[in-house]
Amino acid sequence: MASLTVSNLYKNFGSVEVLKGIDLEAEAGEFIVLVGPSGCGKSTLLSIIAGLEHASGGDVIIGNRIVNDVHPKDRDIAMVFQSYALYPTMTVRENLTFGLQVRRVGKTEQADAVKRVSEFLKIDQLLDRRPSQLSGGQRQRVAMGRALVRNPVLFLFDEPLSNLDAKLRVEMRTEIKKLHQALQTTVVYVTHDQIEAMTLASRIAVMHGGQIQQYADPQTTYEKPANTFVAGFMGALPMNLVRGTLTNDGAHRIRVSDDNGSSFDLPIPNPHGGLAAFVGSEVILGIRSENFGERAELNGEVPPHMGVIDCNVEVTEPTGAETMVVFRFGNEEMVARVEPDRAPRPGDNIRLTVDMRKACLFDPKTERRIGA
Amino acid sequence: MSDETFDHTRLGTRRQQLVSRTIIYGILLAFAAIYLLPLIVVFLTSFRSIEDIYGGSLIAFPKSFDLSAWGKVWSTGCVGGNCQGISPYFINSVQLVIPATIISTAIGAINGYALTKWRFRGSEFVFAFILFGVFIPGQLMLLPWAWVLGKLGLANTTAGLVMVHVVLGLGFVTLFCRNYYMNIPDELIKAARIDGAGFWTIFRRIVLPLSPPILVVVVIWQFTHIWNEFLFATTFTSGYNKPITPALLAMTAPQTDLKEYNVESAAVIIAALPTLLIYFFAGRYFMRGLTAGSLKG
Repeated sequence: MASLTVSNLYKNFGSVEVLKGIDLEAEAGEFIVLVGPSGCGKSTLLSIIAGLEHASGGDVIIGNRIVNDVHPKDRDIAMVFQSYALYPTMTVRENLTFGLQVRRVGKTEQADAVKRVSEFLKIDQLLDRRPSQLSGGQRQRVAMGRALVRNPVLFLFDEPLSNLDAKLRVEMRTEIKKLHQALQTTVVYVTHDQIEAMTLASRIAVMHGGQIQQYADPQTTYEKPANTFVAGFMGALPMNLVRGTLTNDGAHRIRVSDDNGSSFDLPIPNPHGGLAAFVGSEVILGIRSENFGERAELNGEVPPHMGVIDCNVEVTEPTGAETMVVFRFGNEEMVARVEPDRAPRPGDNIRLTVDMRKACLFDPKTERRIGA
Repeated sequence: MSDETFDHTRLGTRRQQLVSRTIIYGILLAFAAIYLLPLIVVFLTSFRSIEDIYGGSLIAFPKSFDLSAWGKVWSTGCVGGNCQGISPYFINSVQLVIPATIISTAIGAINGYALTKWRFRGSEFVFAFILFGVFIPGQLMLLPWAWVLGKLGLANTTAGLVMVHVVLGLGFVTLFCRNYYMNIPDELIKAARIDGAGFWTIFRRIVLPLSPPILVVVVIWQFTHIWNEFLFATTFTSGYNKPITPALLAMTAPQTDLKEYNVESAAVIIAALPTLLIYFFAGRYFMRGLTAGSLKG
């Protein structure tokens, strides 16, 4: 295993700038996930780390070695592709040993490596089959086996699960996590699926428009998104965002009004020093859907960190474990998660509480989060 | 066939169907006959004796099964004054077509591989340039080639014709291979590069094993074209160095008062045999290769 450093990396395709100054550091043994919508540059970044593409500027450092001009085969890396890219005319065994043969590894060593990897991945029964005779999950395992067989210092995964059906994807996700826990090899994993990112990563790099928007552990990215893009992208449901005005009458409050004339003051229990500059002006309030609660759940007094709002339910979406309640608040559509047995019906007027300790505030101009 | 399923061949009543089937097969048979009759006539004529031909009709079944025309055309027939049969010219053609087909196919496959899997700055331009050669009429190239072959000392040699055909065929072969290799996923090549393979190893171990469908197409295409080619063959060779096509013309050109139709028929069949055989044995793969890649998977 080795550490990975990407510093000030640029990539242009003609006049199109795909990567605009990427800085990324992974400690040895870390599981880094690059996540972002399609076209954000995450796959290009992975290709450059692999050496399959050249950067227009900046450095890639694996271990202590600058590898900018090092051929992919000499970077001591292995890569798993979205399409698996198994060699169709070779058997599973030949697929596993191709890289070893090319590197002139001895026959007995090859056999040992195949045995070790195929038993580990439970593909030892499939060694004489061709890729076309394998199921999607089996192909996925062989693709990982081909990466494992050389004991590389760095694993690169390029959307390895997107070709699998939903059920298998969840299974293989767990497999990959087990694999990493067993091997402790540094991993860079590209996906557009934020759930994969949350479940697998030790740190997530959220990418958008050729830049890293936030690079942090999954919980931080979820709870304290660096900007409104990350707030909207991460999480099974995007963070609810609404504009309001910041006031300070001894305590900071945010006032959210809508065009119908209703207006609610919500407390800000732990104001950040940076808020002072925004008093009297507009900010964006971000609330995760699980931070809404039903007023009835509170017995008596409303604690000082809670806000209370009245709203009208537009739609409800049961998912079994919880029910999504869609309502309007301050001219925005919002989603709250509630217990199914307490779920209101469409058209109901309800009173919700908001846990403002978990709320985020964003600068409406820069769209960055205000606070540490 | 159940009533619910729609069968587009089943339009109208059984009677109408029968009529339309009859018409379709009638037309097909007529066209097949148009193509096959000349071959049959030539084939039958080659087994007739010269007396039989001049004694009766030009088109008839052999009275006796006479193989003398085949022996004569192979070893004693006269081609423009050289009376050693067409065997030397047949051998010339074999010596021309085999290396020319192999070399042009090999270079075309490597071109197609490089142009699709190792794109470089200007690779599209290079391809357009190679393809342009396909559209230049052969007659335009006669003089430049004559000059080149003269300078290289390859005029009137089989090696010279091999070179001409390799260069002429390159455009088509590159086009065929490039279009086929476009359908090989780039990720395969990337995976092999990370596995440590280089340009030639990837070609030999990954791309070539996937290539038989297109290589069959290209080999048949090149073999047929080079074997049947006449213009360059007749321009750049003479005497015993001629390939079969100009030799065939020389043989059938009037030399004596008595035209030996049986010998000429045998010569025509011998000249056509290799291309017929290659299509007969590899034709299935040819059709398969031509349509390969048009459907995914």
